[in-house]
Amino acid sequence: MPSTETFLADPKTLARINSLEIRARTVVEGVMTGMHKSPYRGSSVEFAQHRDYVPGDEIRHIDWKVYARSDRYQIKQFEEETNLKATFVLDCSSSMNYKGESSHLSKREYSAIVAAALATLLLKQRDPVGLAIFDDGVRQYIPPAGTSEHLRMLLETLSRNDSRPKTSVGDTLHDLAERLKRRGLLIILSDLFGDPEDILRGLQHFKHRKHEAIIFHVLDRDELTFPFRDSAIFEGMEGEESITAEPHALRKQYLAAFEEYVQRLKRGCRDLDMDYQQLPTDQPIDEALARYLSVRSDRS
Amino acid sequence: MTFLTPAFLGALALVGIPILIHLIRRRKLKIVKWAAMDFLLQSQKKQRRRLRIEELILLLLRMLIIAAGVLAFARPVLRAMGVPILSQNTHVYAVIVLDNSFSMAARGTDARTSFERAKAAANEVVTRVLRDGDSVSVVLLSDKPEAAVDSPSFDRSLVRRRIEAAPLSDRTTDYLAAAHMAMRLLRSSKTPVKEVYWITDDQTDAWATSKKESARATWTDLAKLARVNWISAGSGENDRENLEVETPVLGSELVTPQLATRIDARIVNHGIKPRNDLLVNLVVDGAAKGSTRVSVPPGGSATAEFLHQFVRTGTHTGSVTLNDAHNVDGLERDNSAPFVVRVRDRVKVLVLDPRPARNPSQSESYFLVKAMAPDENLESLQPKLREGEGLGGITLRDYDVIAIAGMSTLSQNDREALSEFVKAGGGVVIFPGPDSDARQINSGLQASGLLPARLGPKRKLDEKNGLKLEPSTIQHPALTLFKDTSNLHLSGAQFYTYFPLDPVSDEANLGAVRVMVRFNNGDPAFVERRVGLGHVIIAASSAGRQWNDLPLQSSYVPLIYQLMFYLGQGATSHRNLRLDEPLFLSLPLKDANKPVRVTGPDRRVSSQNSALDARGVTFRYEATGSSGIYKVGVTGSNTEDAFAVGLPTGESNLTYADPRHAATEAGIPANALSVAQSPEQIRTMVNRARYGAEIWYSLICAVIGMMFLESFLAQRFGRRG
Repeated sequence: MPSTETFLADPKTLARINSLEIRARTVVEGVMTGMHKSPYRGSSVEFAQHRDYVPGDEIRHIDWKVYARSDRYQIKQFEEETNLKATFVLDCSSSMNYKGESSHLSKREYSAIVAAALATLLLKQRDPVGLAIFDDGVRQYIPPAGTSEHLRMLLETLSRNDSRPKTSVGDTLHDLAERLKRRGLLIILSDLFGDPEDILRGLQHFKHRKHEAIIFHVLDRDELTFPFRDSAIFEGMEGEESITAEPHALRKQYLAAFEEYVQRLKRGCRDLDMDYQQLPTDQPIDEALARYLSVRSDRS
Repeated sequence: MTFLTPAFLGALALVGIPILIHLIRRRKLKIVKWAAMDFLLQSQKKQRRRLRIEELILLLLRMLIIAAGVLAFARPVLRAMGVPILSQNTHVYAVIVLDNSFSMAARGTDARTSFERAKAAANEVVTRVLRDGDSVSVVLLSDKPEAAVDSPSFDRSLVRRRIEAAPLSDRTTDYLAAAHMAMRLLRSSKTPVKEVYWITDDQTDAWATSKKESARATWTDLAKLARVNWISAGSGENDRENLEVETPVLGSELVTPQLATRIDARIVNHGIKPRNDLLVNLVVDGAAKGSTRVSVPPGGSATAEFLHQFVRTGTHTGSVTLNDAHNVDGLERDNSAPFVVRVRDRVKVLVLDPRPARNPSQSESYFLVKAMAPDENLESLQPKLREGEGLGGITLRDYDVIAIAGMSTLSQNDREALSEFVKAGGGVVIFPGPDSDARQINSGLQASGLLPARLGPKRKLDEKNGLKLEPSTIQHPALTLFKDTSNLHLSGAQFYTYFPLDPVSDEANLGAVRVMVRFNNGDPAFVERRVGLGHVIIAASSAGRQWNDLPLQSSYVPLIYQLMFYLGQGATSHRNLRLDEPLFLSLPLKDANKPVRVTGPDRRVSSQNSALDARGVTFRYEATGSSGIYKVGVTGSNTEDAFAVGLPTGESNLTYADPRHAATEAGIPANALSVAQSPEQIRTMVNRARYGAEIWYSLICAVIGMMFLESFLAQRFGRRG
């Protein structure tokens, strides 16, 4: 893992910033430092509409005819691009509130920053961005829109920190798949704690609806390594029974079970041709996103 | 189990500490709010049983560590089962059984005898093990055990003196006999705590009598009555070398100057190494009279043979002595065996032939007389033939022996005269003949109390199937010479006609009637009966040639000589005695009521008067409990005699028996027996038996071991703290 000191948006720094907007900007700056073009540029031949040029857009996409007519830099947008409606699907169940002792951000906070940063990036490209917040069902749904007002609303929603104890990722995905009529991009941010088969069936539903999905699997470092040494009472965050456990005795079994579950998810996502990205919350968000977006850009 | 500092036992409550810690830790456990609970639950479910067991093992181990630690502080002592708890103030009654059999004279490599070591051990017990207030009895252990201190004595210095003064005996060892005596003493004491200190050299043969089933109860009861502390005072070597000279076998105790006599002594090697060219000396009247060399294989024997002619009449003392030049034999006591030979001018025999034949050689007495005087120059026997019925006109006291060849009837007077002659010490030998009537002989001799055996109906066999004498059946000292068949073979003679003899039972004198030798069909051939001070021998067949060919055999003359010399020894008992066999002397009338001095082998002199009764003047001495030469003299008279008392056989075999094994086999439970050798071991053994063995050291070791184990398991189970 790269040292957090080398990135602008390392969780330690972000944790000290209260405003999600500033956090998102910090991340975006970090991302932009490493990447100067939009990863979601269209290449479709079917013209859709014009929009204003923004720094970062390629000059070759400026419609010089419009410039000649109106003296304004307009960018030609094609059908593919205009249809890219990104919807963030954010898990706000209780388990997302977990923050390990060595972590600076909870999974929920980390996810919110990631979502905010990506939303900011997308909206900068004038791509409409929506938001769905769920726990055991879709709690709040903000349809995609591309205005700066909309961004503010998104950030405000993301900033709220209320949660419910239960998660039901599979059901929520089915529900969302039904709600989102037009195909678009789903950016799922969750710890995905639940039955992996249910979750994959939910994703399958998106696929069926021609949606594209990126799965950010947000996990605390503790969940990946189970670093506890002393006996402790482990209390479930979603109402599970609590147990007194000797971590030494359970670590091996736990890690094996966890790894099996992660592998199942990865395999399932690959099969559905969806991007799976594990995001440990101690990883600098910009670095993680930049790496991911870079990979994504290369693929497209 | 008892505890020397039981106050510490209260601290056993501390075993609750691990449980408390467990509970407290449980209460103080950090609570972790955990998201990935499903995975944890899943893992825990799989391992819950194992984890519980591991947790329980660790908890128990920790409790055990504390319990063992606390117990160690309480100083527990392990005690043998079945022994009453003994506090420092409880008094003990101890019976010290001190082996004084002659094997205890064996000298070990430390130059001390087993008896010296045994006394030192007994002294140690009295001085260091027993305390003021304890009572003691002392039993001297042998086949005839005796109490050196009978009633329980509280005077320990007296007991020490008695132990110091205890003599070594010439006896064999019989543990069972001593156990009986110890039991009697133990039962007579009311002291609740009793101990037996059995101090011995651990000979295998000492257990011989304890092998009977009936003996088992004695040993078991002894162990129930008292704690048995066994102290081995022997040399401690398992292969104990010892050579033994057995009591010499004499051709005859009574000889004449004309006859050389054989003196044979068996040399027995009880060791495990062969002993070759051993020098064996014959000493007569204090002077070396011959020597021979023998080689003895391990566990075997060889006979040292001497032929000696006594020139002077009188009583001669002597010994057969082994010369142990290399001093390898630890036990010297049995390297020499004493003997006594009496030499007389001749033995006077009256030969009665009631019905002589016209041709003298056909007479029943013919061969008998010839056998007694084969050579006129060698007249050891002086036979006088009297032909015809009845004893009228004969002074029987002029003769030593009366031999009746072809006995027919006896008148009332003859019977009485013969009876008187025998009771006064005379010897009579009766041969039946063709004219003998069994019924008459039976009734006649029965009436006079002289009948050794009842004559049955005469049996005749054809000449091809005649009976033979069987030398292996010889038990009688008069015929012992014939047991060795290498030179003389009694079985050469054939017997065609004989009276089956049925030995009478003399209930008043047990052992008075003895079969001397039997035919090869088992029927007695000669039977002896002791009557008063004399002896009567009856033969099954004739002395003449008509019923057998014995007179034609080379063994005939020696047989007649042996019988005549045996019968001619007179009223005085035979001179070579076994241990405890009473010495009996018939004295001339002039010695009546005079003090008779007996000088024992230890040169101690004892004196008692001779007695005068119907049998004449006699002297009886019973204290023949030591081996060696006893010299007898009458004060104010020139009468002198000597007797030899031999060492008993069986004690010379020093083969070691492990007391733990042997005593357990005899019936002492292993937990009621302690075994020791050195004084230190004795003290430790007794303290352990009384107070048990402290085990705090073992407990501390166990605690350390368990702590390591706990640490290892905790590491392995993945638990710390």
